[in-house]
Amino acid sequence: MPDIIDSRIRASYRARACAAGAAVGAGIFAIGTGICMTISLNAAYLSTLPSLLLAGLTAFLAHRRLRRTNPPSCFLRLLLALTLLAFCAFLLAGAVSLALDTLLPQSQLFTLMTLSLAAVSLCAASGGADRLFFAIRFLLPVLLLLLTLSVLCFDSPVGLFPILGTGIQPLMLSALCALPGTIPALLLFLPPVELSPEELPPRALPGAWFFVWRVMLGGLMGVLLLFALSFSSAYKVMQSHLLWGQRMVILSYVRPRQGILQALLSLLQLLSLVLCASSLLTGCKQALSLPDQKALLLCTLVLFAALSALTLYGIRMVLWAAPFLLIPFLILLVFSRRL
Amino acid sequence: MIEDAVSLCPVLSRNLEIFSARLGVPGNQDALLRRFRSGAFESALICIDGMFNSTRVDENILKPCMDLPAQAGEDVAQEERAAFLTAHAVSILPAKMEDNIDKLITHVLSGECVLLCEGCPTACVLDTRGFEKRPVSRTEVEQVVLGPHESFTESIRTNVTLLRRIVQREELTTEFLSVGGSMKTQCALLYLRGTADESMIARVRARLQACSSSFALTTGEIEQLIEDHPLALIPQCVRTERPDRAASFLAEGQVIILTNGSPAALGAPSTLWHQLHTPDDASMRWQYSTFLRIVRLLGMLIHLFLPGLYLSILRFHPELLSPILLTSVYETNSRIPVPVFFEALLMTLTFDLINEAGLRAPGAMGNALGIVSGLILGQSAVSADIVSPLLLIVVAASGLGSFCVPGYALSVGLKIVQLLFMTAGAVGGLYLMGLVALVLLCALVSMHSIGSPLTAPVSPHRRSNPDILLRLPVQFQKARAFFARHH
Repeated sequence: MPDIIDSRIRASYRARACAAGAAVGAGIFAIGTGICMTISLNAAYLSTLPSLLLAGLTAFLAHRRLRRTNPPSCFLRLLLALTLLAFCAFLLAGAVSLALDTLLPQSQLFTLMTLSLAAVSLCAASGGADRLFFAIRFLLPVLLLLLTLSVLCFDSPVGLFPILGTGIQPLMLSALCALPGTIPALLLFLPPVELSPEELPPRALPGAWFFVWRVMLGGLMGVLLLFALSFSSAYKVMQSHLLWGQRMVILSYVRPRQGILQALLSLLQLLSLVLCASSLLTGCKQALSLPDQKALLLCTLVLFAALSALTLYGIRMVLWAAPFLLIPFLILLVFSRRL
Repeated sequence: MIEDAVSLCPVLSRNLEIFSARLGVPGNQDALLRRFRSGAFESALICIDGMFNSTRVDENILKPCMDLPAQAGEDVAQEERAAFLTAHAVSILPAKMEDNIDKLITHVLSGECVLLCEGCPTACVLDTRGFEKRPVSRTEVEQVVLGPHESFTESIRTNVTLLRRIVQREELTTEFLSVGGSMKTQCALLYLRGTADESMIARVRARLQACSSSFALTTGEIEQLIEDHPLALIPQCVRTERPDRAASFLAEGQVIILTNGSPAALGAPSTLWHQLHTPDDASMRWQYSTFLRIVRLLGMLIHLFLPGLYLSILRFHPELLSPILLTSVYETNSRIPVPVFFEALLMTLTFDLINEAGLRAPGAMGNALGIVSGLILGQSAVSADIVSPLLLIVVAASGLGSFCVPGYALSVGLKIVQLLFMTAGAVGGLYLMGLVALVLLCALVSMHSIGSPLTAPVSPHRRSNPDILLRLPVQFQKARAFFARHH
């Protein structure tokens, strides 16, 4: 009987690790297209490679923290909640920007933001994001890869050159700016939502590599999508794409792969970003020491206020603010033992 | 008050007065109270006219008791008189002793006879049920090409017997429960001892006993009262009219709930995959059942998404269609006076109306109704430029897809979800359809059925047989379901 309970607990950790991995991939992709591409252009995928290592390190530190039984510090839990919430807003802004520039160009920014936020809140209210990620853990990457390959097939790799983009120094700056893309790995500091008090860690806690390789694989998906972007977009075309959403589109100039394949790929990217945002919102709600419904309502209201402000001042505000999320992220990693 | 008496007393006439008051005799002419001499003491038989087998009562109770010699039972203690008659005269099986008046009334109302004796504070309950009931017939809803064709009936005893004929195991346990408030409904809880999890059985039992309604409960009502999410669109228990399917649920560690008066069994807990599998799957070769499952899944996806996709492409994403098709569609739609969303809604609701009317219309008329409605309405609507031919094809394909869904309850729930997707597609295109799908999927994976996750063993992961979407050969189906004991 204890083995059966332990396998149930392990299944919960598996779902949480899948969600964290997917969210890291989405974070790397969003930061890569939002910031890194503007600095190092087609070498953005190279600049996000150090983020993979940081994601692995975060997962390792999270495992060390879960093994401890001391109660968490309120200040650090609040910092964790705010960091996850801010990154959730970042992902939502990216999803809305992509939707505006691909599927729904005639829509209003505020309407799309509200609809996306409502969907994210409803997903977080049901608490099923982790399990859904686990259910589609093979389907999502396979579909993404297949669609990407179908779109890019027979395209020439001219977009990959020059290999280092705009140079070594911009590449290093871009790598620094890409590090906040691994913020979603902080989800691993929180035990899975469905565990009862007697099932909480360190009971049946899997090994560190259980989390590390899942998070790194998820992050690798983001890097591969950035690579596909570089493959598809010529150097000069990328320079002229000033809008975040347009930079996320893996273009194909070879008929008949325009149209339906492009729309499907954009839709898949959008839904991945939205689902990752709901995972982060679930984590944020869990990090706050409040009753479930109150925590969700509070987080949703704060997100709504933040996104409304973005509607007024423009989405580029969130791109300027994203690198500063590195500060709370590093604080959380350094003081993770007290979290 | 005489009606408030709880237990029997040793005085026969007093007991008969209590039963007369409770059953409304002489106003209630169905209740029969028969006094007779049985050896050295007086006895009485209480039953409801039409509910008992009169030949059995005459031959096995009244005649043997009245034929006892006059001194028979003289040395028997007064409180043992009912047991004496059971041992020496009455030849009915089963027979049990009871002294609680409420329980005795319940037995009488269910068709059993109650035997009272002078001086004895306990009565003997004899199963003499013999009312008219529908014979075992073919299945109406879950029809199969291969496999058995027997179906449950409205008699709970017949249904338990049908299951016992298939599951001939000493571990098969039947618990009879009276469920409900003022009007009790008899239910049977069946499970395999040692296979079904005891804590799960206790949960089901507790939920059944917590049902308090003042009217007779059907299987459907009991399902809604015991499930975890009564407001959800997806049912969380699996309903079947087939004994073979119910037997397979028992073998997997599920609990079967039978309700007196309902020709269906309820299997709990269940998963979403139980709702998507048909009884034919187990009877066919693995290649055929895998292929048909994929066809069924495609049908379900077409039913859910095709009308919404049509609307979203026409309104928001025309670039997804080829220019030739797009020209043809716009040329047709230019003659339609109503917006495309209302056109789609009208055709979908018309299809559902035809479906519903075909179900309610008597026998031969139902078939003719479907053909006439489809041909005349569809053809006329296109000729009159009320709907476009492409939309008619979309709605027809979607309708065919709905018939691929195995469970009737699930198919109705999916019809409502289809309307949600149609609205989302018309309002926000593919993006909003995707958001709605995400929200529904997140809600689905977080649902439970009597405490077990509804989408397990896919998510959360549980050990299972390779029989979710693809059905591998029966030689690989070795594991019990995850909710069985020590799976």
